[in-house]
Amino acid sequence: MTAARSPHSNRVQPLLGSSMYASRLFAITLAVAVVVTLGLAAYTHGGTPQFVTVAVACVVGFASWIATTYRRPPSRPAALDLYVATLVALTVLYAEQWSRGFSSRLMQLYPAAYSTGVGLTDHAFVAVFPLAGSALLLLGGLTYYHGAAFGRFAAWFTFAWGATTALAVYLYPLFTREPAGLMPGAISAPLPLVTSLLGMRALIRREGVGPATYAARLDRELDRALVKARRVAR
Amino acid sequence: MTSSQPNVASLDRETRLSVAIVAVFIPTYATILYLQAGLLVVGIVAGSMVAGFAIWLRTTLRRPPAAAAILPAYLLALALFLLHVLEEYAFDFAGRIAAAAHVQWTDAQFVEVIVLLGPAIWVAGAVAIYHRHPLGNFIAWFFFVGMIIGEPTHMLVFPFMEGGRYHYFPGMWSALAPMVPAAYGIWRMLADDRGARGVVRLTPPRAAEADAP
Repeated sequence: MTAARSPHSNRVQPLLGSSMYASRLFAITLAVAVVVTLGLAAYTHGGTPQFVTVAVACVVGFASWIATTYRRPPSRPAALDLYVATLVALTVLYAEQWSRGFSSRLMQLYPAAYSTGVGLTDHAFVAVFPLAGSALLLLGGLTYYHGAAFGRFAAWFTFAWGATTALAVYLYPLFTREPAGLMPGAISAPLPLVTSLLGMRALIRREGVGPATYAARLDRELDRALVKARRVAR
Repeated sequence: MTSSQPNVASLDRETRLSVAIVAVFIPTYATILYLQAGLLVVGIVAGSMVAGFAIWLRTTLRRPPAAAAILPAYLLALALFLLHVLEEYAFDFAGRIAAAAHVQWTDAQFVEVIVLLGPAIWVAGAVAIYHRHPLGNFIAWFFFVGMIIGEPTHMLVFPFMEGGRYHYFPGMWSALAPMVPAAYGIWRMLADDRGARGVVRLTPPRAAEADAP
């Protein structure tokens, strides 16, 4: 029986897998295509600040996936609840950002980063983030629910995006020359930040645990550190 | 009364609470939508809610189907629906409906209710479906029935409201896509319900509960 047909086996997922959806090669190729396309789209249309946010989310999501759940055999998705919660929290964040003109504010903060034709209008913001973005993340959630190798990248990317876009709300004003105050989204940003961090923790502790993963080593080191800390405390 | 009709007194507390929440939510959401978009839009949305509510009460209220039966169709239909709303948004659906139905429905109101509030509830419903919560089952019925009732109007009703030769109406090209997984989801839920009733008829109630996944 192959690893893909035995969801509870502890065997490492083979590179080619028993089907396209179980194939790690297919998953990594698709993930690279997604990351490159998102990065280029953000650079050409979103402007430098949006590009930096997207690039950080892509790098964190992709690297964390490779380091933890990439080789893991398929199993029940441990963080599906948090995945959906992050999508809802992101919708709340987008709602606040849209109602208070986040895109316009960003372009005011960094005028030099937006040449002619670059930058999202407030109208385009709705089309890109709550509509197209959420649709793509839902499709990612579908692959994650099915335990596909790519689905675990989708989970990592979603949590990385949730955390990065929430943190960016507070970080954007820090790199301007003049005091900028709070950005639109500052009230609701903690929501996706918390759900994303919890999701990352669930992926590391409950999905990445296998003999061939860095997550297992990280988890063991974390446990040892906790034991030492308790001894010192006594 | 047939066996398919729910005996509310015998439902568990979670299910009774879900029925009460839905019974309050339907008129509330319908009122908000009516004040913004008028009778036509509220007829489609609230009609879907009421139809979904009635079917839910008569079929899967007591025994929500397994996530594997409907969650994939639900997530796919939801993603396709968001892409459909994207087409509507890009081509000024709200303005065209407002002009055709002689109501005031602004772009901002469309974003609030159709782009943000509705999808937020539906996306959150995925968790409830995953855990077989009764409320999630209603949300699935509402969404699937809504796709079947609401989406064909982009081809069969809206173009005729504006008069003249049959023409494009915002959302027309992507309207049928969410109907495909929605139809499959309805079929799976009804098949699951028929299967469950078959088990209940053949075995004592306790044994049927123990067999349930």
